[in-house]
Amino acid sequence: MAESIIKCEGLNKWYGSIQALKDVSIDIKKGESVGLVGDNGAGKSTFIKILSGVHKADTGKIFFDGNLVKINNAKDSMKLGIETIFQDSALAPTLSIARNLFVGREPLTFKLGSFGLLDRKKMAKESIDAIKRVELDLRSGDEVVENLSGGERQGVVIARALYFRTKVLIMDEPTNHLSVKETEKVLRWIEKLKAEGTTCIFITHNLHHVYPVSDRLVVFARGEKIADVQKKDTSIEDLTKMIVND
Amino acid sequence: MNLRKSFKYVASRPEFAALTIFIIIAITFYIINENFLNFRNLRVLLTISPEIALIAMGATILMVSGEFDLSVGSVFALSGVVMVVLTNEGVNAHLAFTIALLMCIVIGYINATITIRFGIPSFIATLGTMFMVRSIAIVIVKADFPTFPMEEMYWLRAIFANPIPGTIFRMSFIWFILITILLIFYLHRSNYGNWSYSTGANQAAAKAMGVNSNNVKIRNFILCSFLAGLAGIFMVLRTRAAFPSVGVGYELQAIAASVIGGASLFGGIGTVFGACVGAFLLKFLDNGLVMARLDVNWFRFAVGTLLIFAVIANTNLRRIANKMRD
Repeated sequence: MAESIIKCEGLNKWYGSIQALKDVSIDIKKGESVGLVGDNGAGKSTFIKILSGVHKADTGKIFFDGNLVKINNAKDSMKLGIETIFQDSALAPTLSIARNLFVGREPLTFKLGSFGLLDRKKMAKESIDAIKRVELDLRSGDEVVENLSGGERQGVVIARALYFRTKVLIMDEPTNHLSVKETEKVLRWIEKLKAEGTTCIFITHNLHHVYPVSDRLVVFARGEKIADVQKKDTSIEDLTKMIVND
Repeated sequence: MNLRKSFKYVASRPEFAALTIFIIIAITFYIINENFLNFRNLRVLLTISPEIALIAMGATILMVSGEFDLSVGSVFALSGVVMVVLTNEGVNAHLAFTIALLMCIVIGYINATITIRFGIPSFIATLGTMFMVRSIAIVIVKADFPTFPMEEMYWLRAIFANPIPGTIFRMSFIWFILITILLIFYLHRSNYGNWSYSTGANQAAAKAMGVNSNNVKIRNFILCSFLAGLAGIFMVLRTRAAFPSVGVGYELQAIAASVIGGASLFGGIGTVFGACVGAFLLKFLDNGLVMARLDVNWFRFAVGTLLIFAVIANTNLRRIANKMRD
């Protein structure tokens, strides 16, 4: 059995009197790709928001790479090597690809406290290399993100994860609003991430998209984990039944 | 670089459109009255334009990060008033100068705190402080004009305001150039600038990438207020008078200059250079109308027309540039 990368024990989260997460324990192995499925309000978003530092669990423990960790904000999460791509909020549309790739992690030529001057040469060069790795047909990192298609934007985001050697990539509905062709492309990139050893976690409504690239599927309902199965032991039909009939 | 690419480059950078309009306006006024660009008038232009340009650059940087500051006109007045009144009260002039600028920083911080802490639009928060700060400026001088302490201000005038002999420049112009260069580095070449753009363009994305958007905004609110206060002090040192009523409407001129220079009201777009061009454009227009012996009251009409024209042009140029793929 492979080692754990993220291990959660007894996570609970309340929003006022509503319990959004009930005693959730999950053990995610290195290099695994896990699909989190469930209807709206099932708790899957809350769960990943805890991992990405947007929310804090009220009780429970998170182990990363075997160590007990506290994730208080997005920076803590990124420092561990967890990168989260939220729907529609992964990129700044008016900025170039190069600037987007490095937001928050800019290479600097000069540093004084937290202030620094951008290493623009490095940003230009590395952004081209990064885009090449996802085989995007974009010649320059200067292209503004708002000119890109939805699929190309996901490509940029995945390029960013590859570039920063993200250990765990969490994707919220990675194929939402994408054409069939672009969806296929995104799924191919995800295969690539897996091949490079990145652990992937997806949340989705669309089982058909996530099923081919997942090793394992976790079903959420009413804040609880109701199933946690290896793909080889289940089928889309079984999973759909679980989500619908919970 | 081929023609198509060059066109795309220019079209996607709205400050060039503003620069073109600026050159056309300068030439037009020169044709109408050749004194428009003579030594004396150019000196006037290079004196008054940097003051509004400082405010406009601050406004643009703040707009890039997604916020507005309507209190800049009032801060512009208050800083000079405070400096002069304190000096008249016996405070060392340089200390008074420092206190006035520190006060601007505090006002910027208050603007930021009200906006962020209570989650209200900065448009409203700074509309409120605009009235409050103006009121303070008038109350401090007891609705009178304080006498200007000539002797005490000797060095400050020498450092910041006096004409440089043999040139068309005043000292304030040198400071303006220096500050502009620093601001270009800040907004376009530094990580703080990148965080400002990403915060204005998509705050959720910036936060997800670990950018502390609140700090970015606090910094830019402070910067904006500081620059407005500095501009006010430059004007007071130049005119040797502190009027609590100056700078009314500057907040809107600063926003107009920013937008003409290509900044977006929705954040994430704008340049320091564009703000400068926009500000110079407004002051050249103002002065050019006088020199052309037209009724000065047409100034607002001209600004309004220019503003609408510039925004339509920028939006469309951007759209065209975006459609062009190399």
